[in-house]
Amino acid sequence: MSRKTVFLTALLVVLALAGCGGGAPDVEWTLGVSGAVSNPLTLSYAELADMPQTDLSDILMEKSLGEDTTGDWSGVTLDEILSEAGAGEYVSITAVAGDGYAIEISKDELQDAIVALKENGEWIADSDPDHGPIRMVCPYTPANRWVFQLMELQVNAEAAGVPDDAAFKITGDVETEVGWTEEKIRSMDTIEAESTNKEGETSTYTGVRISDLLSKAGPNDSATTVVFVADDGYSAEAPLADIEACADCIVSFRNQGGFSIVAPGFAGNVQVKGVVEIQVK
Amino acid sequence: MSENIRRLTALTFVFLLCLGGCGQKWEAEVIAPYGGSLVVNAEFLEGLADFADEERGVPLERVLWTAGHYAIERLVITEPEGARHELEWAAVAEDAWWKDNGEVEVGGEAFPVAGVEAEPPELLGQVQARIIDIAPTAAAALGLPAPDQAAGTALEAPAASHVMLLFLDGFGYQRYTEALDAGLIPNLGALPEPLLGLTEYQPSTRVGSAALLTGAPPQVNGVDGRSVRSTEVETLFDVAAAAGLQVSAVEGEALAFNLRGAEVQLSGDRDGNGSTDDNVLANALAVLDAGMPDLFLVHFHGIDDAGHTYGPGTLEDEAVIREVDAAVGELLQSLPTDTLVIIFADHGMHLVEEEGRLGNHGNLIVRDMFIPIWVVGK
Repeated sequence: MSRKTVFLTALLVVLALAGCGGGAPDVEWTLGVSGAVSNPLTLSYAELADMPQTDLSDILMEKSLGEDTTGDWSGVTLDEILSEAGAGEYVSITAVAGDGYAIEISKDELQDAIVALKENGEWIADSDPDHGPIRMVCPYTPANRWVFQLMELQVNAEAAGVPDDAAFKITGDVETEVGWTEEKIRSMDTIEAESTNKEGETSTYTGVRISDLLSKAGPNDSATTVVFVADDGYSAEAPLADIEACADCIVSFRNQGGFSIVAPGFAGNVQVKGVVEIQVK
Repeated sequence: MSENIRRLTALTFVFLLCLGGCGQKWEAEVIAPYGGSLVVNAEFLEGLADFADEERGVPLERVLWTAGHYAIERLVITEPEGARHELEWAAVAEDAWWKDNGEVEVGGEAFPVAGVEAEPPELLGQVQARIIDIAPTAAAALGLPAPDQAAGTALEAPAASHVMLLFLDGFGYQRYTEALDAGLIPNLGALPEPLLGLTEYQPSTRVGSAALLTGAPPQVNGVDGRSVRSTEVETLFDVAAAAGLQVSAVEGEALAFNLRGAEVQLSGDRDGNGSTDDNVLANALAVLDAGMPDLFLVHFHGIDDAGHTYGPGTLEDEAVIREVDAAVGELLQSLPTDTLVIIFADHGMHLVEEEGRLGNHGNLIVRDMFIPIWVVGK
């Protein structure tokens, strides 16, 4: 092989690498991750491009205007981004776009969601800059959730307020009064607790830790007491600090529906059956 | 000799090509509502290319709107040979196009056109207010200047310490009168009668929001279609925020339009009951509990959602109208005195038969363009 041929071959290889190397374009853009996270993030476009990329194929986008489309998308999974930001349990994400558009998307609708950098194999930044450089892709949901010019993800940890059909609520001297439907409480993380009754029989109960529920309401510093209120009007008090420190005190699920307080080691009158409310005082 | 023949042949060929390629000049006249007319030709249509459907052409309504029409009852299209097409506009508005070859296509039938004349609905002569009047009205009540591009005028209203803007998405004037007659809206019905209002084209949430906030029509604020989500033009919220006033907004699940200058709270359907209006109400009441802002926008989306899904006038739609009326009643009760309340819609809704939806809006028709506007003091 002549030197000239070697040189030409090398040149071609370099050119080919430059043309087909798949390197992300040089884009100035950041994605903020804020809200209920332990480690708020500001990810640059280059950092997103360096994270593990996931491909989604033949994903239908249902548009409210014009024809629906099907396409392939690649990017970073939302789970990956949330895990890096230290997000815990959350109910929804508010996705904010560069032009001020924003939408709150519930957790159910974020199944398989990615922050996409590529559409149909091409960098969105190059192929469709008006809808880039990064875009939420939320499969199985309408296009208004596929936020383009994505700039910020705000993590919403808990439902604000008490819904009308709440089966259980925490009220009183708390930062935010909260309430949940029976279904919602039963879908939360549960633990098992053993408790022994007056007759000396030990049973195992399943339910949600009371301290976890209290933390969602955020008792104020001035609060000292909790009052468990039952659906028949019965109520019983316990010291707030003791309940907060109790690792196996739960709101247990009753077979016939509804809830009971199971507080191992606490007096019998605190084991309130049919509890519907915790008042913090 | 043969050279000359070749030249002549070439020249003839070029001449014929020119005839074939350049002979498609056409021109038509659209009568404007208050005299005068708009000349439509290929060049004019090219200027509306942003709104064109690739295959079908420019929506005929876009041309009519550009000519100055706000609502159309009947349209008469005259062909160059004199044939006339009389169209009930509400029946064909969504499927009428102006093609770049000069033909108009309505419901799949294409014909050449020389003139277009629109007959407005009688109601147009009774209009008392426009959506672009709302920003100047709110600004005047708060002692602020209107946004700098505002073309609307301040409606009669008392000065107030607070202004509440209650945004009932999709609750057009006809739906209001139907709901009133059906006894669905005891709270709204107890207020003084609303003004007969007019929104801007294309009647939709973003176009309405921009017109509402800037006091300027789409041609000025730049939000002329459903896909534009922000305006560069000064808004009521900009003016209020610059004056140091507290501006808050409670929205549904999405902030469909940039509410720059306001502290915005979204209200997703966190309780999963299929509606965001209860979440909007809860968040709005929480804001009022904490102290009424100087300027407060609350946007209920349920009537629009139900209208799209079930169609206006259905039982499901009526149930939502009742709920929104109850929410309005609760909010009005919770407002402090010395508040000016402006209740309005952004557009209306008409029946359609499409896959996935039974109601839509976006046309120059009474059901879509006319809105109620209440201006009441508390």
